[in-house]
Amino acid sequence: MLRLSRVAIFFLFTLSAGQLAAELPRAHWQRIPVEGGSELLVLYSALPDDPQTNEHTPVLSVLRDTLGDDDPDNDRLRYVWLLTGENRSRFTRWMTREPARGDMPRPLLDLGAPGQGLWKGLVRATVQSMVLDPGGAAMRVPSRSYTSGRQASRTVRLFEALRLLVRLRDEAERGPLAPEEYSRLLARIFVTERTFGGLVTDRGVVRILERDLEQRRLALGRNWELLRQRAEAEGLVFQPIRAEGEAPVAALLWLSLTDLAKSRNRPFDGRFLSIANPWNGNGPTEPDGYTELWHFDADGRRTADTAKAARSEEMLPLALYSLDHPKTPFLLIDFRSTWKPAMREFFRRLTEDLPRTVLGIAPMANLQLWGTQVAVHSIRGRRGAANQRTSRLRATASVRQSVLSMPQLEPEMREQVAQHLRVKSPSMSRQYEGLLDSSQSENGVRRRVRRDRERELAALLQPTRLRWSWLATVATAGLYRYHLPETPERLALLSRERRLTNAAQIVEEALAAKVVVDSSSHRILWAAQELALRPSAKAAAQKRTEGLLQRLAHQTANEQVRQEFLAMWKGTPLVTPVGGGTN
Amino acid sequence: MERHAARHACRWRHKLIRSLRALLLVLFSVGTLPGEAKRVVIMKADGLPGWLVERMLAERDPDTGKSPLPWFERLFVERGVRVPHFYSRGVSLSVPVWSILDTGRPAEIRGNVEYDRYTLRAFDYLNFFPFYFRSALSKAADMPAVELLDDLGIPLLADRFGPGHTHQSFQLFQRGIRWEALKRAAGGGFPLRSPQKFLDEWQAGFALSSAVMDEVERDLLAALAKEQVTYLDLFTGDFDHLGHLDNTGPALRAVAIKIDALAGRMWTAIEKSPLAAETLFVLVSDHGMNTDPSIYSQGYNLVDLLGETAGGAHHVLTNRHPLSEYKLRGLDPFVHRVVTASPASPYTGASHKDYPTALLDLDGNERAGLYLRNSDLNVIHLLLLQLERRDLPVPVRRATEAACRQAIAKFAAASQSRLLSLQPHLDALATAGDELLARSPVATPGLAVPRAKARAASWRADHLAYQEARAAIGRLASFDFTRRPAAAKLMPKRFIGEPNTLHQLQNYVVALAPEGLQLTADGRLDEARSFRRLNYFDFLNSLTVRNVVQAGVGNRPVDFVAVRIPAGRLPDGLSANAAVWVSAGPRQQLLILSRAPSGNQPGQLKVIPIADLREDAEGRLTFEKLRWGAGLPLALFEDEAFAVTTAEREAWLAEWHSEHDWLAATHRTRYTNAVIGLAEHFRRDPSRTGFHWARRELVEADLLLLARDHWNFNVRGFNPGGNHGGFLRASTHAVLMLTGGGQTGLRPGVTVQTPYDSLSLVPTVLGLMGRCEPDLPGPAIQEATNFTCPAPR
Repeated sequence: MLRLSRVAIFFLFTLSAGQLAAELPRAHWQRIPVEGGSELLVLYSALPDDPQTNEHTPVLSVLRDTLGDDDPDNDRLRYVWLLTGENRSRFTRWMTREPARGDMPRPLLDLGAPGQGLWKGLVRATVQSMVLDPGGAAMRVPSRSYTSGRQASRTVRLFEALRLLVRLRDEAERGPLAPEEYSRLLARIFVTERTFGGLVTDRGVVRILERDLEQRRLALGRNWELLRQRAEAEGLVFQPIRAEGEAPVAALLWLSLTDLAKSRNRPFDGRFLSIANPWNGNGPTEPDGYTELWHFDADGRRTADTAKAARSEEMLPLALYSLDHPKTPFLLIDFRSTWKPAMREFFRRLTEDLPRTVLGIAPMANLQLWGTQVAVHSIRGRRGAANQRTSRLRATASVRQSVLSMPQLEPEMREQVAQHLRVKSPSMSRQYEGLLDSSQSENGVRRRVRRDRERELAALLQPTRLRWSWLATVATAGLYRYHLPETPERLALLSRERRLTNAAQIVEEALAAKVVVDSSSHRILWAAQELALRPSAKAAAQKRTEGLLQRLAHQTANEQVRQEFLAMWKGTPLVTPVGGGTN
Repeated sequence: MERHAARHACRWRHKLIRSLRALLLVLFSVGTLPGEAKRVVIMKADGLPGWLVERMLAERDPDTGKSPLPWFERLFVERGVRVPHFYSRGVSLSVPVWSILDTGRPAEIRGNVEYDRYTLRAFDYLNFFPFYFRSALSKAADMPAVELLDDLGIPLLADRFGPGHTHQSFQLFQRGIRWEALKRAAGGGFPLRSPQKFLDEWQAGFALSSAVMDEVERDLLAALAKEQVTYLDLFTGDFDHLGHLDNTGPALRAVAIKIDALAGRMWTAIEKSPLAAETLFVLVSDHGMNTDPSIYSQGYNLVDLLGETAGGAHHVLTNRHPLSEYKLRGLDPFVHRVVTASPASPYTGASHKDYPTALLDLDGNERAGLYLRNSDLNVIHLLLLQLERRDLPVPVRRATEAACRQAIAKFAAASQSRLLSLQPHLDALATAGDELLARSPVATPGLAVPRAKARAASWRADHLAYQEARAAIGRLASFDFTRRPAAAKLMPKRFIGEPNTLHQLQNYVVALAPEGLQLTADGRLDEARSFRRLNYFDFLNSLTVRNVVQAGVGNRPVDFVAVRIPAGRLPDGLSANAAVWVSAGPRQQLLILSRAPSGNQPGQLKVIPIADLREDAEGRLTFEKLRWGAGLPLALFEDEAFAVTTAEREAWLAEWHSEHDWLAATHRTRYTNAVIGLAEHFRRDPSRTGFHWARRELVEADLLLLARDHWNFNVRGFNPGGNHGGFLRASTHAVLMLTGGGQTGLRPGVTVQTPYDSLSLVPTVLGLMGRCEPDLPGPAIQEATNFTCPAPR
């Protein structure tokens, strides 16, 4: 029982841990130069409805290594930090070490080495399975619950930040980031939630993101329709709600007390609604608590103009759903039984965590149990059950983020919903302060940027030695890492290689998208020229370049452009500039 | 000397005149020669709307100065022929319209799913799983829609090019399957050779559909290099699939851009192919998409409605499970008959699977074809159930029995008359299958054997099913009431009987009256008081919903209901061969009258506004003629985009006009070519004989429902993104553009301002290839070419 209470506490903590990211659309980027040739790009967002403050809250920061010049083609995005604060208990603060003043805070991800997160995660999982789990429930339950809670908190903050970034992208507000940089950043942040996300290529992660966004859009529409049709079938009133300029992410179901008086004990099918029968005689027959008076015109459309109203009805709120959930709407609030959604979530978590966390049964150790879980999960999922914790968190975060700016809600209803969902004002995390300090400190961001460049140079100029030095890195538990010191010549080489990598990516994307190149494909032509005129220092990269140019020659619209690419591939001098011909 | 000079001058004059005549003949004949295209490549983009393509062609990318569709612009606008006013003909639904586009003939298929009323055989034209399965077992060669067209003797455009000369992709009207492409796609979708690629695909979700499309494209590009292949097509359903689910502008534009890029790759390959100069490249779509980024398309569940008491308490048969994606049973790809039982059904004790009383297709989109069991059968069933009771008073039993006999006799007469007319064809069907198999011995290469097997099996099944229907009807008809009847043994199972007459649809028997059976003063059954009846027109037109939550979407899902009026029922003064009744309410009705072509005179249409049309039990029609005004279905009178001025409109509408004139007058209106479309949908060709043609009468729905703007009748799932199927302009506005090499006879840079519809594709293509077929009914697009085919009959 104590164990279950602790689980419940952590569960409740998780629900409350999400921070409300700043309201849309007011957001802006700030550039903070860092000595040594890099800059911090910080995204701030504001909460316009917060009467207490007009401040912008930092949401996200990205470090860009510019090599100290104005050439955007040799820039590299590196570290990303989530800056919205999380509520951490004293115990959590005691458990986790805060970075020392001036040290670079731990980033969310390293865009230069996105796969690193996987290995750390594997190490953590191994320690949990091999050391903590066998230590008994006293070690297993708190450690797994702690990890799970932190993960949930991070998931919520991540989704809120992602939502903001996607919204800004849709409004073409990318700030100081180029379109490809922005897409890559967004996609990489998105896949941090996936175990193997860090190993996926840049093109792959962009596809993952686009597919997820598409699935999300489709889910919003489908859930909207599903809930509307269910409301219609059950004689209930459907109210979609949305933030300004967005598709509806939530919906309320209401019961007309006039209808209730006429149709008491009407049959009710609660499928997909997850609420008790509002029509039976056991439900409230008197307005008990919050109600609203709505007016409808002759066509049944709600109107605020009482002069046009053909009828007026008193409405009782029944439930709030998030539409941002796969397959079916997700019940967030049952106004008649506010404890039910939380209890339902508790039992879901119990079912999900019971075998592993409480009983210590590893999935692979008991294939029958695992198989049963998968089968039940699939069947329930097919029928629309909310099986995925990440999806449930996201569904909640989507609505919580927007609830204060939903004009369809009356102020009192908005307050009730905010209270139920435990919406809190955003707060700046200590990460932001730490990051600012570290950007000015010699031992902070600057030092990290320098080390990263030196490792990049080592990979470029001494790849074999770098590979063997990995053994020393492992032996010293990461204290020793091989690197080559920066010099102006080496930096120039680094700049050139980065430009070539950039150009190769452009050509690869054009080949993957099967773009037929002609004289108006300026960016592709520039990239091809770049690859042809500046050979790489790496033999493997140079070979790859030749292959790309050869393939590009076969994907052209006209003979002249094709001949130019073939000339580039063969290394012969160009007679006329690329793209000078006509179609 | 002078005589010699005069004779010489005369000779030269004659020579000059002859030369001038020859020159005139040459000049004239150049303008009337058919084209010389040797190859045609058709890109079929299902659901790509004309309005979106036109809009994007008009935009300019600030960076490139070009349209976001650069290939469409280069190929079709600058160098080819663009037909910006191209529309679906009939209901704007994929299967019917592709049947027109792929054959050049009027649609004989009227929905995505059709049912035989006598056997409940479902013709599910969209479900390709059974086809692929049977093909793998060499028991089928063609998609279901093609099998039907073969039965009707209607060839595809591709059939004219002969085996070995065609290259078809995966599509609704498909012959054969490219198994190699599927195999490669399966391997490509799981790239096991490259761990990185495998990881990328796994994390993104294995995209088998795009892998299939990649292989299809690769196959096509390879086929272009083969000179003997003269017909090629490539079908893409990407836009239609996404358009139903996603209404956001950027997503739809992205798909249009992808299709543009695909056209670019195809054209680049055509230019490198051996027949480049003689290749015609056509981009066509079947229909548009009614979508709006600020509106979700709202579904109205007719299955639930019909199952309720108010809707008739029907057991509703559909081709798949409603809400199939939320059911385990929905995973079964072979299901073709699902009956949703009504808890309020009056046919107690009867299995809902044996006695469905309403049939619907799940993917209705903006229209629904509703089949209802013949009302007389309902009467018989209800009376038989009453006669099973032991507590019926004697006078009531006697009256009920008499009424039941009478109803059975009436029903049997109609059914047996039908079966009698079908019998010679059914007898022929029995032997035709065996003869076909005998003509296709096992060793025959290609698809001849599986095709023969499929057709023979289908004919055998039809023959057997009709024999069973006949036996069931005979059992019922011969029951002599000497013993207590058992309804479950007497009522024909899986049978809904003859199409309902207008009178029956206006007085449809759904159940016994609440007070039960009533007798008249003279002891007969009072049918007027004994049954609860429903006027489906009034009922459907008066449907409203509780929740009205979107601007631009009203509270009434049904726009209007349309039915055929049999030619013999029309009053003489109308001088029409056929008519369609369009009803949006008691005082909002139209009659669309048709006259068949006669001599050199083309077919003509006329629309008259009416009210309160009714048919009595004897089949006599009565209605009130109205004056033209606002508020009638199709909004012809008040639509500002109608090409006839307001002052002249009433006079214009009072006259008969050809289809060409109707299309020209109405194509920009809200309902575009609805008048032609409705006449087309209900058209029948009485000259055709044979079982399959005769059966077409039995697969026609009783009622055609059209949804209001941004409403739909989908039940399989949800289509909030957008829909089509109706006659609204967004749904019917399709794409047709052509380009080609220098020797195709195509005029470059032409934008055709005349409106055309789906019937014009095939005659245009065939004309450009020098294969004019004068009996094709649609007009070729004259403005596009330097040729003239003879005008259609």
